[in-house]
Amino acid sequence: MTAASGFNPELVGPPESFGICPKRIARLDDFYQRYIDDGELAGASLLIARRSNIAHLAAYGMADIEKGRPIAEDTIFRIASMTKPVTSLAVLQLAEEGKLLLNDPIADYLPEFSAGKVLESVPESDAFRLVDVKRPMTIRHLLTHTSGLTYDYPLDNETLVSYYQVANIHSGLGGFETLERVMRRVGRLPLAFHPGDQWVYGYSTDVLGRLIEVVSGTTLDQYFKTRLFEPLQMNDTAFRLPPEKKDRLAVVYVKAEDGCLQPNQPHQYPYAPEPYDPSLLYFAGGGGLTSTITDYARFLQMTVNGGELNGERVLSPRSIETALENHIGDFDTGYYGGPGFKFGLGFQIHVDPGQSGSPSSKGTYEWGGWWHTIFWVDPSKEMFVIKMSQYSPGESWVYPDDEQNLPDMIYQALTD
Amino acid sequence: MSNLTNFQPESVQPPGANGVCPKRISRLDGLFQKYVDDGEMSGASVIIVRNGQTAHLKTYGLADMETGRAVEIDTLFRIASMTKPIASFAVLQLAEEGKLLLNDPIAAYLPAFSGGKVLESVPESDAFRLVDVKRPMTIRHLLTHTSGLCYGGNETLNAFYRVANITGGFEGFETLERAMLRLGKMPLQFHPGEGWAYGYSTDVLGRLVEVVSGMELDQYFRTRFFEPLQMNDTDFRLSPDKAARLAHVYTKAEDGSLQVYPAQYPYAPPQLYLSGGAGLSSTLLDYARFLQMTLNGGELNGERVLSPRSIELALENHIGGLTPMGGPGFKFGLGFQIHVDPGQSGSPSSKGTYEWGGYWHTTFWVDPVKQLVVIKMSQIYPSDHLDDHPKLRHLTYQALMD
Repeated sequence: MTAASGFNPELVGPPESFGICPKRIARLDDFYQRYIDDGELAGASLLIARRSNIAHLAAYGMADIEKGRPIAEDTIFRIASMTKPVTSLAVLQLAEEGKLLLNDPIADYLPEFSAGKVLESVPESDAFRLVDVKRPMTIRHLLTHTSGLTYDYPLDNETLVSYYQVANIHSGLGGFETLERVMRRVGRLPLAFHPGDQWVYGYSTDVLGRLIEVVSGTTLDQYFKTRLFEPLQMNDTAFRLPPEKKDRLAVVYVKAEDGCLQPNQPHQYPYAPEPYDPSLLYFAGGGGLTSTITDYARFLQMTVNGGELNGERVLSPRSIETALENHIGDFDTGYYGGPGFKFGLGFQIHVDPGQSGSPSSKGTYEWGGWWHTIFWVDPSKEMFVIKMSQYSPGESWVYPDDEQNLPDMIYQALTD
Repeated sequence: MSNLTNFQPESVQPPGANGVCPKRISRLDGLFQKYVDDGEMSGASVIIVRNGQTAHLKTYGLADMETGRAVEIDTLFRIASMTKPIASFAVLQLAEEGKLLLNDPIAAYLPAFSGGKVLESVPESDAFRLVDVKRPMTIRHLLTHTSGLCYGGNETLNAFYRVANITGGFEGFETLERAMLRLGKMPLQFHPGEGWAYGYSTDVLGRLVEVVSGMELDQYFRTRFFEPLQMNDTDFRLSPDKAARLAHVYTKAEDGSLQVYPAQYPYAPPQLYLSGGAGLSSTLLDYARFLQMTLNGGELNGERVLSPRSIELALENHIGGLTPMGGPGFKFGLGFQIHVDPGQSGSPSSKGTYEWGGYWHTTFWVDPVKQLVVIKMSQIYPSDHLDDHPKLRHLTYQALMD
């Protein structure tokens, strides 16, 4: 990919200069307008970058229906789990400095994770018992979601959920306690399986956030700011939103019982303090950041460039390459991707389009966020795509289906 | 690959050459200086070669803490198991000459290895019995550590090694020929080809080289490798002037201080056991010549010691579904461990990287994708408290800008 030292996400198009058919890409405008007209989404923002240039950048609908504020290029979104790649690459920075090794036990840095236990079911009974872990949980287990930590939402294991409840481990999207305090309890949670024995999505990346604090000697928000956001000019990405940016934040909508979109209320699941709430203290490496579509484009272009953007190097090429290997062997990512998908260090990796049926190329890396944001980077097609919107499915877990259709809608517009 | 005919590891390229970031590579200095300052190791030296040119050549700390002698570029180190790749390649040379075949039974050359037995445990008991090998042990089993010979196993097996007085493998006061008469009768840990166990296999290959070439192993190495590759400081035995350049081995005493560890070879006579598995001493630059030869496909500065295809063959996975010492993500070739899956190992090395190390805490790897040769020398035992080898690897790769 060329123009590594001149990426400017504000300069857009024309799409035909980057192998995108203008007529076909226009289908996306109709596609998203329909979700908005049908009252499925309040608004959305879409960015397509190809060959280090923005080929398409569009905003649809409203950031705040009640105030009549439309989605704009600089609208701020809660990117939730799209925080995870940022945290994971920060861990790789510390490995580059010799401050930790990926295969080190996490307990070497966070002693509360020593003496790990697995909650094991007793065969032919409804009983459980706690057994010692077969092997220590490592930093790489945490980077790949093979640590045995899960999220608090209902699994098929009520006993485990009750442990998370008594420990008062919240949604992972924000909170009122510091990472240090929460991790003391997370470190004592029983694991769903022995580290390395399965792939299950969970709090692992929050633990990595605390690891960064301990190893770097600075708070996670400060670390991100000085080591990633300032060099990459991601000036609108942070855990905490300053008051003057509050009016750029998109409102999260939920579907009320009458089928209408309503702003998400504090009592609704999952609960998280708003990013402008001054009492927010929990810097969730797994889900706490807010950002804009152009800021996140800078982050992704950095990965495409092998670790640098506009002359600022934050990682080496080989660290990026290592992050994009399959690190989970024969496992797949289950509900999140399934057959044809693997996991690297912080990213899901598409390894077999013939298994998944997805039009993205082999080697595509990707993830999304709880509040209905998504991205993917397709190195073969020299392309990445980011879509941001703000929608909570509540406990139904049912989202508008735009993200399922989005890959097909994008790839049909590529002319090479 | 540039400069195929003029590899000069002692001449360090200007900062920034060959895609190595000067600022990032300097992180290595901080890392190793800290180990030295903290009293974790006495000294070390590192060479990083890229595209056939030396990008980094540094020494840290002391070779002799008592006299204050610093580690120098020409300091000699006991390279122990880093002898194994050389002995393995000597066998490949003899195969290239039609003097042996890799799949030949070793007993065809060393009759002591006929009539092999495996020490088998009797199910549901603590008993053992000796059974005949299912298939003969071949030269390739020995090259890949699938022969069933080991450096240590269960107590019963260890008792056999003890009564046979099979030593540590570094040195000894009897010839290879005599020691192999007893090793050939040693019960095996498993049937040849059915397991991977690190052990005396390469010592057997050393004796094989002697028998097939008609030369003593040191003579063979000298004429067929060290002279053509100008590895003038690599040998089993050190002359007194060279012994003065040898780094001491240190060990951490109970009070945490570094004390000299008794490793008297390679200067105390008579040094009769020429261990193909662990006997050599060498320097950073000499071993860099050897490794650059492998990266060049068998030749260095116009001297060809092996054919390209022999090198390629050595770097295949020869152990199928077995797992070597490195664990998941690694396989074994002919004399080298091969990195086959970075996603399994978590190592930043490219797929196809080949590597090994030595007992006294030396290590090397060659990454053909990145055209990279890295060697680190130090002398400390035990070294369990040190994490410098994986950190060296990570800090090397983070300095490569392409």
